[in-house]
Amino acid sequence: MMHRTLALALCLAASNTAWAQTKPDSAATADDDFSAYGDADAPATSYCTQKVLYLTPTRLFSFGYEAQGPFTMKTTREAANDADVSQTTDVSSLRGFRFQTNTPVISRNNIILNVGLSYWNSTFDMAAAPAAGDDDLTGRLRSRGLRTGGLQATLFKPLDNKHFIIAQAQADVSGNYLGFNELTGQQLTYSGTAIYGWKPSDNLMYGFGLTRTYRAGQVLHIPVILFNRTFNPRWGIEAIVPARAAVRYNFSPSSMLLAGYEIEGNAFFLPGAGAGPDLWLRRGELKPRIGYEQKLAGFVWLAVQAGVRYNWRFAAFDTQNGGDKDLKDNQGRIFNTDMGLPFYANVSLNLVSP
Amino acid sequence: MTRLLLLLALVWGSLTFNTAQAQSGADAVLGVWKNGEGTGMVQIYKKADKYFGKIVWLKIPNDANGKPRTDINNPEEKLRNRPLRGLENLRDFTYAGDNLWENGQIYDPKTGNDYSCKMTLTDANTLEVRGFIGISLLGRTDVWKRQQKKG
Repeated sequence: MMHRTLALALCLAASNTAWAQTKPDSAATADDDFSAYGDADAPATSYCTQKVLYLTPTRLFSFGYEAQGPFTMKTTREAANDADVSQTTDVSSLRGFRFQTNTPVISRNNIILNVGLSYWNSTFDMAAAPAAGDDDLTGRLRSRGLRTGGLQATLFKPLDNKHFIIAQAQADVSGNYLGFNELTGQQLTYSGTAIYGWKPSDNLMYGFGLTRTYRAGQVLHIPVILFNRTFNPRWGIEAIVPARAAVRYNFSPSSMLLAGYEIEGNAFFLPGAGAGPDLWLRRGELKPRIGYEQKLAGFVWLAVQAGVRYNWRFAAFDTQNGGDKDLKDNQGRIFNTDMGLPFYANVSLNLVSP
Repeated sequence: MTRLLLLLALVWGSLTFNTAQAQSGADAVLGVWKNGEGTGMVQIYKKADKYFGKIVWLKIPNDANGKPRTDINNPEEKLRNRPLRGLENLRDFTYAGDNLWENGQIYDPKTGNDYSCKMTLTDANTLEVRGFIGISLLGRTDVWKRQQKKG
C-alpha cells in the first residue's frame, strides 16, 4: 500500500515538474539578451508582408464619384471609298459613381485572399441631337451611358520572408445595360495577373509577371512589373507597370500626395437597336494625375484626384477582341472617335485595411 | 503515520497542481513571442487581471543614423521620440476561456495605428494575433511563435 501511495505521489510530482517545464518563459526581464532566444518548437518559417512602409493604404470599401469634361466628341462612321460620316457633339460632362469592395476572406501571415465587387457607370451629358438624329454610337451613349460591374479575387502568397506570389483574377460585365435582365455573355471580359516577386526589405518589393488585360480597350497579353519602393519616410514610388505608376510624397503616414498616371478601360457591348449593328466599344483611357489621400478618422480616408483624360482608344468594333495582336490593327472598326483632352476629377471615401 | 503524511502530501500536491493548471489557462499566453514576419519579439505579461505586451527585441534595432529606433509614425508628435524597444504595444486583454484573450488593442508602429485585437493560443507555442477594424472579419491574423532562451 505504501509503495502504491509513494508511486502515486511521485507521478503527481513528475506531472508538476513536466508542467513547470512547459510553463511560459514569463520571467524574462528587460535586460535579457533576447537575441539569444529562439523558437520553442522547431524553427518556424517567417513570411514577408504585402506592403512596404508608408504605402498608400489598401481600400476595403470605396465610394467615389468622377467627372470629366467639358469636351467635344467627334464620332466618325468609317466606310469604304472614303465615304466617312462624322457627327460632332458637345459633351458638358461625362460622370459617374464608382463603388468597390475588396474584403479579406483569408488574411493570415502565410496567405491573404481578398475578394471584391466593383461597379462604375458613365453618364454622358450631351448637347441636343442634330435634326437628322444621332449616329448609332452617339445615340446609344446618350440614351444609356456605359457601366461596368465586376467580381475580382486577389491572392498574396508569401513563400518566405523574401519571396512572394501575387495572383489576381477578374470577371467584368461591361456595356450599356440598365438592369440585371439585360446582362448577356457578350458583355463578359476576363482579366488576370500573375507576379513572382522579391521583398528584400520593408522598403522595397518588386516582381515580374504576365497579365491579361482590357485596360487598353481590347484584350492584351503583356508583361507586368511590380515596383514599390520607399526611399525614406517622405518619398516613394508605387507602380504596377503598365497599368499605373506614381511618385509618392508622405506628409505623414496618414497624409500623402501622389503624382503619376493610370490606364483604365474595357470592352463595352452596345447591342444593336433596330437595324443598327451590334457594337463593342473599346475604351482605353490614359489619366495623368495628381492625387491626395488623407486619413479623416480611424480607418476612414478621403482621396481626391485631378488630371486629364486622354483616350488611347474610344472606338466601336464589330467584335470584342479582333486584332488583339496589334493595337493599331483596326480591322472591323465601325466608329472611330476624337474625345478631346478634358480635365477630370475624382473624389472618394474609403475604408482602409489594417 | 508515514502513510498519513504521504496521503496529506499527495492531497496537497494534487491541490497545488490543480491551482497551477487553473492559472495556466489564463496565464498560458505569458512569455516571449516572435511575430510572423520575424522582425520583432513581444513579451506578454499580466497587470492586475489584464494582459499586456511590450516590444523587447527588434531585428533592426537602430535607425539609419545608428540610433535606437523610435515611434516616429505615432500620430501624436510628443510620442515620436519614445523608443520602440520597451514600447507597450498590446493592451488590456482579458481572458475569455478556451485559450482566447479578447477586448484588447494592438499598436502597429509601422503605421502608427491602433487596432482592436484578440489572441488565440492554438497550441502551447503558437499564438494567433488578429488585429481588426470594428468586426473581426475586417482584419488580419499574424501567427506568433513562442521564444525560449537557448543554450
